[in-house]
Amino acid sequence: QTSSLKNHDTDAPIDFDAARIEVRDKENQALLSGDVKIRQGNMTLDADSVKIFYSRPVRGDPSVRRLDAQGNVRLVSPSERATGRYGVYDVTEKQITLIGDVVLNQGQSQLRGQRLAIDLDSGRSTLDGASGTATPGKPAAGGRVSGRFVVPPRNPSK
Amino acid sequence: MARASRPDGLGRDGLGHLRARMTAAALETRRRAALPGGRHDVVVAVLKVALPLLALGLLATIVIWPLTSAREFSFLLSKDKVAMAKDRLRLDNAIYRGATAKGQPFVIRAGGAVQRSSAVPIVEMSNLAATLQMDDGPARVTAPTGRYDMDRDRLNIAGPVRVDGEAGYSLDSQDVTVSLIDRTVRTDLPVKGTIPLGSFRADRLRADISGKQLVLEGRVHLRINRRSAKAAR
Repeated sequence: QTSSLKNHDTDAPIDFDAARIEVRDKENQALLSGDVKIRQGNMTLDADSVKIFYSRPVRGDPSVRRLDAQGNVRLVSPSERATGRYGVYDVTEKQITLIGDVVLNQGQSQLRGQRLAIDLDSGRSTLDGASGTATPGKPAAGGRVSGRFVVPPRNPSK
Repeated sequence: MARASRPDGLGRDGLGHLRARMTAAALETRRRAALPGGRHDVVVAVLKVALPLLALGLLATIVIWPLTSAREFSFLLSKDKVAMAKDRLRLDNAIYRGATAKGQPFVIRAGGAVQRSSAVPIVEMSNLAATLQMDDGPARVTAPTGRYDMDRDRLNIAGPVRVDGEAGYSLDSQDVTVSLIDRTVRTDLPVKGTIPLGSFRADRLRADISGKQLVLEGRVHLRINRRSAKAAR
């Protein structure tokens, strides 16, 4: 089931709410801490702390490259909710990755694993069991993926 | 045209005859007037006495008057009546030069600067611009109004402040303190503004003037609405 995040507009404005934001322009980073809430389009990403990496062209405005979220990371989109210990939103690669005790709820089905990758272009989300060792796309051996699938009742209206 | 004879017998030569008779009469009156005891004598007698007196009087006034009037014209410059300028020091296009602890110079230009009283080392300024030499180039702090605290080399600004430096940013708050000595910008009141990354609001702000390090605290909201440049891929 493809995620509603398909073709998610990564260029849309990103809103951050936090208790504290520290901008370190020298390192082109911004550290957000204290119940951080990130909203972009119809997607929200909450976490205890987030680090923004941005690039600063010589002229013109800086642009966000990547967001690293840490601690109680929770991704909510119209089609699914996922939680994990860490999260990486790679804006330029248009991919969101949750790592560590990942729980993915899509519709009634719930999947657990170590690593969830959602491709914001295709909307495809892949969940694999191994934590950290699996390279994206190639399921790692050994990690167990447990899942409880509930087949949504076929109703003619859909 | 026949000459009509006129009852008084005046003819063409009558005019001359008339003038003669008139002058005889006038002569008559002048001769009468010249008689002693006439009106003219009285006038002359009066004038004979009045004119010298008038001259003397005039002389007296000329001599005495300046003396008397001198007293009347002298006046005391009383301090409280003169219009006191309430500001002790009013400058236009004021320029203050100073140097920080590390010896880096700073200059504050202001459209207008007023120091209320010498006891209070606070100068109220309008459209001020402070320029500081930072290690990585000049930084400029501009604000429509502000107060410069000379003792502590600090600017207290109520309202918008624009800081142009390596990473320029602007903010607006009730009371922003710009310390020229330790090059920091600080406010403990709700503040909103923009940084290169986007626009923000927060309850408190601490930043260094060059904008290298900026800390926002208290219900912070940051909105990044830059289109992520494709080139950055």
